[in-house]
Amino acid sequence: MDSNNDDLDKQNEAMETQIFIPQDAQGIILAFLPGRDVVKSRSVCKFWRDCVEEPSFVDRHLNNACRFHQSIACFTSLDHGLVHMYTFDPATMNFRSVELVFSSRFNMSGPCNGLVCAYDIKGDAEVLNPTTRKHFRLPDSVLKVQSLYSEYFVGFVPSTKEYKVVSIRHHVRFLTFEICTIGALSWRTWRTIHESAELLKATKAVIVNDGMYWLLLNEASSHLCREILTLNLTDERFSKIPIPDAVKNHNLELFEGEGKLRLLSTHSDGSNNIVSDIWVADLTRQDWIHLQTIIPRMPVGISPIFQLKTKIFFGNQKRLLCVDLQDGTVSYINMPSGETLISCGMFVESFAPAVTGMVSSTASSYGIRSCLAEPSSADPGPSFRGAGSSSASRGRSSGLTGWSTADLEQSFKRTKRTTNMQWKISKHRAS
Amino acid sequence: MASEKKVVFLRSSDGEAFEVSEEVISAASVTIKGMIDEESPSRADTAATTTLAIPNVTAATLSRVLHYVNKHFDAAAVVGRPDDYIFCAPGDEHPLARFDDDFVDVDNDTLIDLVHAAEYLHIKKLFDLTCKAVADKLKGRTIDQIRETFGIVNDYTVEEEVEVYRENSWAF
Repeated sequence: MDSNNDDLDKQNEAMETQIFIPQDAQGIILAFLPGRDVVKSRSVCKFWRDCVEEPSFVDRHLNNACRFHQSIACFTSLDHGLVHMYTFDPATMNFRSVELVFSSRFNMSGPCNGLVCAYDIKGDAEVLNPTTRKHFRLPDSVLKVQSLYSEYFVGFVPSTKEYKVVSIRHHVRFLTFEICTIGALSWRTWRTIHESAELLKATKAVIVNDGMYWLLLNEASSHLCREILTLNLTDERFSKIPIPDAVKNHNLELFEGEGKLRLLSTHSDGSNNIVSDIWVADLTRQDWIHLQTIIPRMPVGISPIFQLKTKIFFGNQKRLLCVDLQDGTVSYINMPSGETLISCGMFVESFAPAVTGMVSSTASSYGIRSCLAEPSSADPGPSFRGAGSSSASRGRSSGLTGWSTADLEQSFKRTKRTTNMQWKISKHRAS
Repeated sequence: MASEKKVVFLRSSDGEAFEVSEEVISAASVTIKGMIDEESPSRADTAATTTLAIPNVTAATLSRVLHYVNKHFDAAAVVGRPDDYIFCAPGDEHPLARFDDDFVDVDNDTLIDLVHAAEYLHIKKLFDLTCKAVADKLKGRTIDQIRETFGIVNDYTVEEEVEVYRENSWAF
């Protein structure tokens, strides 16, 4: 009896363990996997490796990821020249993971469909994909050299599935806008705002679907706004949309929420109460809808970044703050000490862009470039400081001085084990 | 009045026939809709019901598929957002999300049979659902486990395998 049962079990086991997937379903199945599992699956066989490199796979995976693998992401710059990406579950807000992003730049655009653009004060910039750990160096521009500094924003054109990077070049008296399609070899200059750079209330673009938006001030010395400058990424045209009359004398800030352009207006009601309202743009009718008057006092000196369901996220360099419009709870997360929040937003894992010219990001492509050029040099050069490196692993790293990718990974993995970022409640609405 | 509703019979590969509303199955399956459209001139006179042979699907799988189809494509039974049912955020649960979870909570063979059937019958929602369920089974497995489970032959040479592992080692 026993042996019969055993045989039966074995049979069942065999049936359980070996199944065959139809070949044309394999790519579709892989497109449902989280990013890291896709990267790993390249090692399974050549067919799978080729599958996940097809442009149709990239599209399909992005579609699925938008539905299943979204996170709230915070990018922090470490003082020794690396970036950490912290992710949180959008439904529960719980801390999910910390990932290493190879970039030594101190500025970063908001994430857009899985890509971010990292740049520095000199205007050098790369588009990074933290999911694949690949990056793409943006082409040089004459205007970059001529301008004082540049800012970069990444947007996405759904109809063509192209990513476009918009740069604002700051000159002494004016701004120029340039657009570069990722994968293209050059920038296109689109517009120079000659009046004054100060006319933009904030140069940081708010990105909603295929549009980028900036608040325009009444005049350079004013803090009041007259309208919104719009850049449509599909047809690359600028236009302006008015703001609601009711808020023309209020302090305004733009942000994105649930795929719509939103406006946060704050003003004092005369008896020292600060009143905050949210307006939602109806872009097809060029109209605004008043959403609600918010009772909890909005934090001062910290800007709205995006809205997710009933929660609005605010951030500055040290803190991400979340205001729940439904119950008035205000909670926050402080960035770890020594780390500066440089970018924040909804992050979706993506294998885009499917263009040539993407390069694997490792430590050697950034901070220790100088060591790579002169491997025999005794001077470690501007190596990474921070957590101690082990001399044993230094020996393994093919004679390189300074930090190797393996060292960084190890030190990062130590960090990763101990990281757990928790939201702290700072205030409940008094009811 | 209810008797006016047209039905078709589907005959599985092993000869069992299943009755299903023509309207419901046409909405669900592109393949069967095509078959019905082809048949329709010859059956304009009515009374005779059509029987369609589904040679690639066994009775056990077909009955599961029809169970799913009746749940998802019968307009009277579908509530909420019928076109967006499997893609609900974890927070807001669609009434059929639980049904879907239970539906794909089956052994690997059954699941793969469903993938095949959904592909052959061209029922996109079911195909997506079952593919996602297979993907969930792959999650977090080691490369060797995946190869073993899905009967995949490792066609890399040792050098190639070392190379592809080196490229992606950070993900492991």
